[in-house]
Amino acid sequence: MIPTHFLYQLAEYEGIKIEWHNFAHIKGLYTYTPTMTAPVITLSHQLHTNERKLRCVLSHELGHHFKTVGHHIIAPNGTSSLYATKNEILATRWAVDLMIDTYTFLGRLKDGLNRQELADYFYVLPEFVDLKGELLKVSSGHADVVAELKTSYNVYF
Amino acid sequence: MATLGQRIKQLRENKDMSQIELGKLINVGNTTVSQWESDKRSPDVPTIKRLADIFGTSSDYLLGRTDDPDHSKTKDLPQTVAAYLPEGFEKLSPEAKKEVLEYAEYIMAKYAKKEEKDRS
Repeated sequence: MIPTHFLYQLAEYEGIKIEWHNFAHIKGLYTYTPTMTAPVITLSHQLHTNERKLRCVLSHELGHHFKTVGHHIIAPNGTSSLYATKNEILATRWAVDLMIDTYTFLGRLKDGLNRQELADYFYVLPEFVDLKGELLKVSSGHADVVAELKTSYNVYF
Repeated sequence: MATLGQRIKQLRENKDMSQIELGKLINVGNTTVSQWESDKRSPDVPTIKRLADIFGTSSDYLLGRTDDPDHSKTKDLPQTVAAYLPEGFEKLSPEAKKEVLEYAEYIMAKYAKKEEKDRS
């Protein structure tokens, strides 16, 4: 399992500042422009009491830092929705692959862990486990493995 | 370093797109696309920008100035404001968009470089 402090260390190493804010509608925000002294990830105060969710949100925002820097995510008139959707996918994919190592994931599947047990093992939301399964299904190197697991081990996806 | 034509071909194939399909998106015939891919002709600058948007990469990558297809589009689109949106951007309510943008303005001002602060 990736320790939570590793995510903070990664942010620090990258020169990303962490802020906390009482958001009403969102859980996290990555902000960076060339006019700023540093990229900033802002996390919702609500995440203080939900470490599992915090790990998913923080890794997702780190995904934006590594995968989507420079893309205009949200425009005041909402015209950037195409980029936004694409970048959300890129960031999520990066986060899921960081938090759930493929080799370990496949091993635990063979051990017979179910969705919730896998989520507990990696200490992420079950939705991240679903996404990992989906990513493996579409990844050319793993489609066969997943198909085999599905028949041999009766896994859920 | 791959040529412009090779990059267009590779990116098109990555998207499982035919030359005809790509041509339709940018209002040219498949023959033109074919000539680009064999480097017999080159697309003009607006078309290169459009191709970069379609393939989700940068003009720099298409032109061979970087080997990173995820190369930042910072020069074209300098602002990055990325919210965690598990439900997807399309479902972001107007109130949520307003909150994100207002907060982003605040954080950009808080972390503005000195000369930017002086200028404003």
